[in-house]
Amino acid sequence: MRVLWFSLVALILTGGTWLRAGETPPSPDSLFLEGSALYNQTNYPAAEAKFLELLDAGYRQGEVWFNLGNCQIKQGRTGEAILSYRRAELALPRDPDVEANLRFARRSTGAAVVDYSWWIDLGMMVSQRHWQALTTGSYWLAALLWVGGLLYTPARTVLFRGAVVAGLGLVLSLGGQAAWWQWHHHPEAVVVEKNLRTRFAPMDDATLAFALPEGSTVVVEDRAGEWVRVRSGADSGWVRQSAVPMVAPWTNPH
Amino acid sequence: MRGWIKQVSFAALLGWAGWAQAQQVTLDIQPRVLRLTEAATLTLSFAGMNNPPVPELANVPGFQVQYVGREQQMSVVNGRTESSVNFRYRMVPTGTGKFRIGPFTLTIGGASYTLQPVEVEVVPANGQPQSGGGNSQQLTDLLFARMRSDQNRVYAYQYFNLFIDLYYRGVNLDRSISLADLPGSGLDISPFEELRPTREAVGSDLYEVRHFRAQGKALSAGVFTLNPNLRVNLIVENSQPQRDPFGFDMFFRQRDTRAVSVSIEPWTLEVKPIPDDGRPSHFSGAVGQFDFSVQLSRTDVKAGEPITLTARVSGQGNLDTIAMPGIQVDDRFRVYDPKLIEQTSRAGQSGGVKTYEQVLIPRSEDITTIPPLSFSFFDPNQGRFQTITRGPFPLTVHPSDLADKAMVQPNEPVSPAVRKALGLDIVYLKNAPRAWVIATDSGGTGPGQWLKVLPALAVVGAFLWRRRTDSLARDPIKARRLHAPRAARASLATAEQQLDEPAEFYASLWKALVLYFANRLNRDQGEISPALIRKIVDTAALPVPLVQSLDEILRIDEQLRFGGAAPNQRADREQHTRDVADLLRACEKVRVEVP
Repeated sequence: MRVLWFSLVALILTGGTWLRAGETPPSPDSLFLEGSALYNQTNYPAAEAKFLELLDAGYRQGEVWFNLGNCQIKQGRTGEAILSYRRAELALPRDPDVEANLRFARRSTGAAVVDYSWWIDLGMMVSQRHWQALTTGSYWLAALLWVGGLLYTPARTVLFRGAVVAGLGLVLSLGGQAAWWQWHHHPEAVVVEKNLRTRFAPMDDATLAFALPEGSTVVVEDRAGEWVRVRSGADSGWVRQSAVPMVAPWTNPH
Repeated sequence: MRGWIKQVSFAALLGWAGWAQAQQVTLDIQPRVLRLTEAATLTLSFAGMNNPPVPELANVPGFQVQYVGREQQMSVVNGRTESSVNFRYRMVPTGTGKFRIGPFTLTIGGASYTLQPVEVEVVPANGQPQSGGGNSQQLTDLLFARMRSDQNRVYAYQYFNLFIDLYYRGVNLDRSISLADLPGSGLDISPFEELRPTREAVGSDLYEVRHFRAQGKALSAGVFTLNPNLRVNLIVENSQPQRDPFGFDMFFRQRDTRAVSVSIEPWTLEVKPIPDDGRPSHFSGAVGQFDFSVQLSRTDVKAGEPITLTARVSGQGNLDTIAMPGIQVDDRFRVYDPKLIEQTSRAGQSGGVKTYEQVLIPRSEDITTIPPLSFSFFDPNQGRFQTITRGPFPLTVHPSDLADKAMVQPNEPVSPAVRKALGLDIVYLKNAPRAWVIATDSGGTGPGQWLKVLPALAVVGAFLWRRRTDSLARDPIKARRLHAPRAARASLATAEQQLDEPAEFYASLWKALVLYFANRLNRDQGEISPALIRKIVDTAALPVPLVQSLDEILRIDEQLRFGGAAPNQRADREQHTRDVADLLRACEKVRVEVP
C-alpha cells in the first residue's frame, strides 16, 4: 500500500513524465553527434536526415547548416550545399570554415554571386542576432547612463559622455539592422538545379533568356504563381520557384 | 499567331494616340525557297508603334529559330513622320518540304491584326526541288552526332574516355564547334581534343566523321546523364547574289556560316562508390592500375649520414591527387618530409609517373633494416584493393665519427620542405554549438516587448524630476512653500506620540503651526507668534469651528507654558490634533498672507 502511495505522489510530482519515457524525443546533442558519426561512416544520406531533423525541430544554427551542406556536397548536390552554406554564413558571418566551403563549392560549379552594396556587405559581416543584441544593450545602457546623469549630478559629465558613446553604438547597430532589412527586402535565392535556364516569361514554352550555373545566388524580384523572376547581374528572367529556394524563407518580409 | 508568337504586351504603346500614322503589323520571310543548308530571315514589322517589345517566338515546325536583332526606321513624308520597328529572326530549316506559316491573328492592346500566311519551300541540300512529294530530307540525315565512352559503369575517381563523333555529308562545316550544358559538378571532364577524321558508312550513305575525345572522372557516386548542346557552323553560299558597288553581280558568291544545333542522344554514366570492404588503413584515394618501386641511395652508412629514399608510383589512374605513402620508422631515425621531384601527369588526365624523395638519417648503429613501404590503390578492373609492399631494406650502420655530437647533420644539403597542396576538399564537420537555441519566426510581439518602453519612460521621468529639482534650487521661496506641509506633518506625528504628555503635546502642536507658517510665508520661525497666526487665519476666512479650535489650542499652550495643569482629556487632545491637521489642510487651499 505504501509503495502504491509513493508511486502516486511521484506520478503527480513528475507530471507523469516517467510514464512517457519511451516517447522522449532525442536531444539536439545526440542528433548532432549521430549525424556526425554517420558522416564519418560516409553514410551521407542518413547523416543528412539527422541534421534535417535538427532543423525541423527549430535548431537553425550555423553549425547544423554547415554540416548539412557537407552531407549534400558529398552526394553531388552542390547547389543545395551552397544554399546550406549560405544559410550557415548568415548565422556565422566571417566563419573561415563556412567561407572556405562556400568558396570551394562555388568554384566547382562556376556559380555566380550577387553583388551587394558595400554597406550591406559591411552590415552582414555581423549576424542579425548580434545586431539585435547590440541594439538592445546599447539602448538600455544609454538610457541608464542618461538617467544616472540626471539623478546623480556629481558624475553627470562622465555619465552623459557614456550615454553618448552608448547612443553611437545604438546608431551603429540600427545601421547594421538596416543593412539586414535591405537584404531581406530583396530576398536572395540559390539555384539548386543543374544548368538552369531562365525564360522571358513565366511559361514553360517562353523563349529562353540565359543560363545560370548550379549554386548561383540570385535576387528574387517578382512572383507569378509557381514562377519567380530572378536577377543575376544585369539580367533577369523567370524560373520555377522550386529551382531557386530562398536563402532565408522564414524571415522573408514578402 | 497565338501558336508561336507568345505575347506582345504593349503597355509602352499607350501613347500611340498622338501618332497620326496608322498602326500595322506585317510578316515577311525571305527567301521563300531555300536549300536545307541555308537560312531564311523572318521579319516582323510594326508600323506606327513607338517601342514594341521583342515578340517571343516559340517552336516553328520545320525550323530552328534564332532572334537576330531589331532595327528602327523613321521617315518624313509630306510633313508626316512615319516610323516602323522591324524584328529579324534567322530560320534554319530542319527538313525539306513546303511549310505554310500562317495566317495568324495578333492581339495588341485590344486591337487585332491579321497576318497573311507565308509559304516557304525547303529543297534538299543538293538544290533539286522535290517533285510529287518524293523523298524528304531532314537536317539530321545530313548532320548528327553520337556520344560514347569506353566504359558506362565506373568507380568514383576512375578515369574514362568520352568520345563525341560528328557525322556529316553533303554539307560543309568550319572548324569551330561548341559544346555546352555539360554537368557543372560531380564530373571532372577535361577539354576535348580532336582526333584524326574518318569516313564511315551509315546505312547506304557515306559520312565524313570528326572524332573528339576527352578524359573524365566522377567525383562522387551516382548516375550522371550527359545531354550536351552541340552547335556547329554550316558553311553555305548566300542564297541571294551579292552586288558590287557598281551594281554588277560579283563573280565569286559570298559564303556565310549558319550556327545550328546538332542532334545528339543523351548518354548515361553510372558511378559506383569505392567499397569500404577490404579498404587498407593507409589507402589514400588512388584509383587505377599502378606500379610502385622504392630505391635507397646507399645501404652502408655511418650514423648521422643521410640516406635518400626514392619512391616511384607509375601507371594509369588519378595519379595527380595521390600522396606519397608514409614510412613508419621509430625515433632511431630522423625523417624529413617527402619532396615531389618528378611528375609527368597533369591535373585532370590519367596516368603518368610520380616520384618522391625522402631523406632518412639513422641515429644509431643498432639499426639493421629500413621498414617496408606500402602503397595501396583500388583496381577498378578487378573491383578490389591492391597493396604493393617494398622492403624491408637491409641497412648497415657504422658508428659515427661525430659520436659526441648530439645532433647529426646530413652531409648532403637538404632543401627545406616546401608545403605543397596535394588536394582540395571541403572543411570537415563543425562541432556542436555551445548552446542550442530554437529559432522563432515572430518579430517580437509578446508582453515582454513592453519592457522596451521602460528606458524611455525612465529617461522622461528623470528629466522631469531634474527640472523640478533645479527649479526649486533656483527659487527658495517656492521650495519653502512646498516644504511647509511636510514639515508640519512631521511635528504633528511627534505630537500624536505625546498624547499622554500634555505639555510636550501642545508644544509639538505649536511647533507644527510655526513650521508651517514660517515656511509658507518665508519667515523666520521666531517671527511667528500666536497673534500673527490668529490674524492670518482671520484674513484667510477659514471655517469657524477650526478657528475656535485654534484659539483653544493657543490658549492651552500658553497656559501650559506658564506652568498650568492640563485642562482636558486625551480625547480632547486627539481632537486638537485632527483640528490642526484640518486647519493646515484648509490653509493649503486658500491664499495665506500676513495682513
